Amino acid sequence: MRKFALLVAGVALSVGTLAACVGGPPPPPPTDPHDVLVVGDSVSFSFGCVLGDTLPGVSTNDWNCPARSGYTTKNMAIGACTIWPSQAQLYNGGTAQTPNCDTVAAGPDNLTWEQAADYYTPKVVVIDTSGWEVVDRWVSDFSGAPDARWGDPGCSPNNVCSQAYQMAAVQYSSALYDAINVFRSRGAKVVIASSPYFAPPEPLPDPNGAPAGLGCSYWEPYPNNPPTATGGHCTGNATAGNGGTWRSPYPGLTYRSSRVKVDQFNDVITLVKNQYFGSDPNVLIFPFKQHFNGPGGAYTDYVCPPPNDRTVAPDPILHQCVLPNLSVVNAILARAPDKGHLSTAGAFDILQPYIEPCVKSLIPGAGGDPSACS
Amino acid sequence: MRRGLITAGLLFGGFALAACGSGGPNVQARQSGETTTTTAAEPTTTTAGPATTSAPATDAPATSAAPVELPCTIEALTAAYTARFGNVNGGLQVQKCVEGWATSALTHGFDPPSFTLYRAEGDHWVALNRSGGKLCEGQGVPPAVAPQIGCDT
Repeated sequence: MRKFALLVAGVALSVGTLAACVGGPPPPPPTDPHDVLVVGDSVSFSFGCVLGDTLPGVSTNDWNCPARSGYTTKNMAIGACTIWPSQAQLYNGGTAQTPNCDTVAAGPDNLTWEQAADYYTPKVVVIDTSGWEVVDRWVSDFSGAPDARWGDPGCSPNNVCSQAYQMAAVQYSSALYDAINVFRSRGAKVVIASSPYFAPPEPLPDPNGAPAGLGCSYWEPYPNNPPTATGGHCTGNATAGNGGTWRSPYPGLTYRSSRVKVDQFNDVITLVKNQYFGSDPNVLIFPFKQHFNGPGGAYTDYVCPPPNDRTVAPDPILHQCVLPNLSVVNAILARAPDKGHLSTAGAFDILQPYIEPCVKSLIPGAGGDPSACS
Repeated sequence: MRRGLITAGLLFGGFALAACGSGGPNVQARQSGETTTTTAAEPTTTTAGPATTSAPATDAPATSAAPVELPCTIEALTAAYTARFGNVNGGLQVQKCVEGWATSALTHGFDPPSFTLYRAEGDHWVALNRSGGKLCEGQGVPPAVAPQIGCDT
């Protein structure tokens, strides 16, 4: 028995020594677990902020997004994020390659969404893109005007009324499908935000603060007809200044309201959910639009405070809300002056009361309310 | 799931065909797993944060400040911003002025805006706080005014 024990010990020692010499299995890749991951464009920053995280390298004095109790969030907002592959037509006449965030490492984290999913191992992922998704693009035919466009009147998944709409809808829906699967395949629950309307009064961004070539590069106006630029930073001709009417950034492009584009964009989000993930309760559409566009379904700077944001429209002059109990409260100035981003009140007083209990219910955690997701 | 994608492709293609005639497009939804070779577009890389040289916060909000009607202009708020935080780096826009309180938004490229809170003091505006969130917390903004100027409470 003693000899056998010595033999076993010797073998074990040999194996152990050998393993130490050649190295064991590779260490697992590093992770930094967070309960929630927020991905998307600059508007998605508000989602990450109200859920408790700012962006790396940014002073908390400038971006005060207090950590929330009971869960952790990673904010991976990237300005101008858009996920479907194409060459985008900029309003100033330039072009930009896309996608530029989900499958391309970008931003301060320099991670693709797939890499972020592996690194942050989130339980819940919030996806919010929109503003740049509806910009006209070239996908396959570069011989003329952009061949992928939202906004042709009457187009919907049930009425594909133009080739350009079809190109945009198919390309975006495929990209969204892939993005959802990246997270679902890793076990995360996925919340996709619908898009509220936006109504930029002038091209963006201000050329004085923008990287070269990108000043006045984005303009998706809301009115039914081409508006005049107001705001003092960019003209309708995409130069520094004020005034001037919207003009086509490329010969042959017609004006289409961002309202129509956003409606079509939201329809495709619904299509992707219903057609591919209809039986998956862990893929949800968060009604971002409904919370910020009121019962009238229109862009407004002001929104009635929760829980009446979806049911009571503020007076357009006085910005006050007559509640069901006939009391009157001030509406909330919910949007930033660019009429695209949220104000801090819009973020913390309208978005947070819904998105936080929603994600808490999915983590799951104390204070969760699944009804807040719908 | 691939079957679903094909169905979607047919759905789009079919409707397009019906709507546009036999010469309609035959675009199929991109299949999961396919990759597209692209490079990051310039707009996405502009995530630099705002300047981090904020002066110490004002601790004592002047809740007794009488409402005064100061000009609600970019010039007036820019002067107050500059006095507190230094030169404006980006595009400053007036958000709203109500009863002696004001807010502005500062944009940098395609980054989300940061906001600044101002209070009227005598004949000029004073910048109190700059933030992308919790802008007005602890600053003494009257509850009736806060929502009207885009102020979280």
